Amino acid sequence: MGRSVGFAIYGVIGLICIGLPFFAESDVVVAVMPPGLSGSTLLHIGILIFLFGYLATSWNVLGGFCGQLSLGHAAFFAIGAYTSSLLYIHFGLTPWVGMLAGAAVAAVVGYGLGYVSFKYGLKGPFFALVTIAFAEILRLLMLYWDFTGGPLGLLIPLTEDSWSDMQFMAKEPYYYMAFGLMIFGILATAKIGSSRFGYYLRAIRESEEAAEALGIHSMRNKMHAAAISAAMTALGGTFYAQYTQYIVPDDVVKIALSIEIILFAVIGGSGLVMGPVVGAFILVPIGEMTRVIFSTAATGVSFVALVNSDIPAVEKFAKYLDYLASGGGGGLALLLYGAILIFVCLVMPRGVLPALKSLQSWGKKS
Amino acid sequence: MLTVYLQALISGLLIGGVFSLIAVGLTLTFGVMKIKNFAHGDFLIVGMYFAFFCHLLLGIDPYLSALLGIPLFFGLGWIIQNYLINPVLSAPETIKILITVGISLCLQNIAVFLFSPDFQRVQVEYGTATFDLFGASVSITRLIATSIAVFIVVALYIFLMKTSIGRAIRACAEERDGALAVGVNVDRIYLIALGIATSCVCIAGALMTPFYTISPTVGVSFTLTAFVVVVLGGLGNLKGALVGGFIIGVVESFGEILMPEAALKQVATFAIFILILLFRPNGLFGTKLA
Repeated sequence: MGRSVGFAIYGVIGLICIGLPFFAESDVVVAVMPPGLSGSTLLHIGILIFLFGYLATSWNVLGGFCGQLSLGHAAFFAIGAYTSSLLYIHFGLTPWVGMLAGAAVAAVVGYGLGYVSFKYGLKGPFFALVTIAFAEILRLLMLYWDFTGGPLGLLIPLTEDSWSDMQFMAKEPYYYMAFGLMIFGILATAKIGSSRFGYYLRAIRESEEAAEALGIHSMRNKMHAAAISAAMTALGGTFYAQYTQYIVPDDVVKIALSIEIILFAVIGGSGLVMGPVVGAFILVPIGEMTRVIFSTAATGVSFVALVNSDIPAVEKFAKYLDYLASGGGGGLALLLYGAILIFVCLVMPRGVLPALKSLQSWGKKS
Repeated sequence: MLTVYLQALISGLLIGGVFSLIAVGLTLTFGVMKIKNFAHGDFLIVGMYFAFFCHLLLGIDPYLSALLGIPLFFGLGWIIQNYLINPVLSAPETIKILITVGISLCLQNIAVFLFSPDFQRVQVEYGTATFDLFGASVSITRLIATSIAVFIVVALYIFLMKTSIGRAIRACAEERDGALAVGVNVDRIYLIALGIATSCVCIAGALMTPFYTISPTVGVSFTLTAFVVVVLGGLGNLKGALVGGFIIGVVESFGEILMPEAALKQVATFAIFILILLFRPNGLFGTKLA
């Protein structure tokens, strides 16, 4: 019973997602939306939900199933974004192929990173630290190297709408691509989860010694998980590059991105196929709504200017309250994410999805 | 040319003490509670903004505000340990890491929200004062910061060695259950330990304000630097953190003159970090607290 209810809910949400672009501009949707939102913003939020759902799903293979906490997945995202973009800019290679090239590069890097880390027995926080350090090194190098455009990044040359160049003026094609990517991620992890390999990974997560004792080659399986997870993340990177058509190191390899990817997975329920997607569906709208409602442009008061201005203290304080009311210096979305992460760690450490499931079975009993 | 190296050495030593003070808090947190605090650097911001506002609103000198802030910083650590970290101590490793990531996100973005991501500076008249030492210039504010930092680290070491609370803290670090068995209130010791840790890093923040720009985003890079220092010195090793701070200070400062680009100086630091993690995960001095 519980299982079919779950599938029905996912199915309905999936159908709504597929249908959304057709009525995003309709009067009904516009009427119920908060002010400041348009149909196109709605699609943008949808794209972000799917993309982050997909990225968190990719992270889940290594971080969730296998229990190896990577805090540097933005590195693989950036590898995907830069590889396909460089190939497109210099050789005119279609991003569809560039995407696969990016995934291949990321897989090799992920495999290598896994090899050195796991060979020397790095676990838990130490593996996390190596992945952060690796992502930071990559960011610094990308800022330094000429061929990656340094701090200015890469601008993807604009063409007309074209499937072969993966470029469109409208949001709808990107929307469906992101949706497809997410579905691919779900199917892939579901496949992995129910395979022998998936069971190996979970055995390693629960106890590496016990898994080894049962004859599971833990290092090889962890490396495979790292490579698959990296390659999947890189596909998302290419999509992002094509969607924004502009990538800079401080956007695609920042620590905050790595953390966001993990947030969605952990809050939704890491180690579960649908957990990361549920996390993205809950958190991305909250974050984006906060960003839309509090946009600093509203008053245009700069904190530094306010501090240094010569107006009386009372007036200064009143202005400061205005500044806060209009969203202050920003950061509210991430603040909310952080608070939700703390809440989830304290109250439902296994994530929202298991909590919902236990709520459902509890409802049936009573 | 020799002057350049001397200058690099001096600059490195002058920031090294501050690194030590930051790292000492992190190593204490790890040694005692086995918590890897990814929010550690974000407490630095608390100290920085505290000093900034004391100076802006009340005209208090940053060094005085470092002193005045201690009860506040200690209380902050106490509260966070009590309500956020103690409840998850028996949770899986991942949750223990992620809750500190959550705290980091909150602290950093509260600062962004309240004070904007823009850079600020505490303007004090002695901010740029220097004196000459064998042809190299020594910044007085950095010298004061490092001296106070080293003084605090040494004081903390004596506190841990000589007082009964210090002994209890060491007992918890060494053998939690044993400490519990002989009647140490372990949960309370943890509150004190994180209180001390946040105080150290907040003081370091306040000490840095005369010569360092303040921004909510500097926390993350100091978290990483602190981890580099702590792992180098041996996770949980107080003396190691003291020495490690100076080593990393000097390495970064030499990196600055030897590397063609400033951007690559940090690459060297992180590369060394990864190598240490791989080849000497226990650091240079082992992982015993004191």
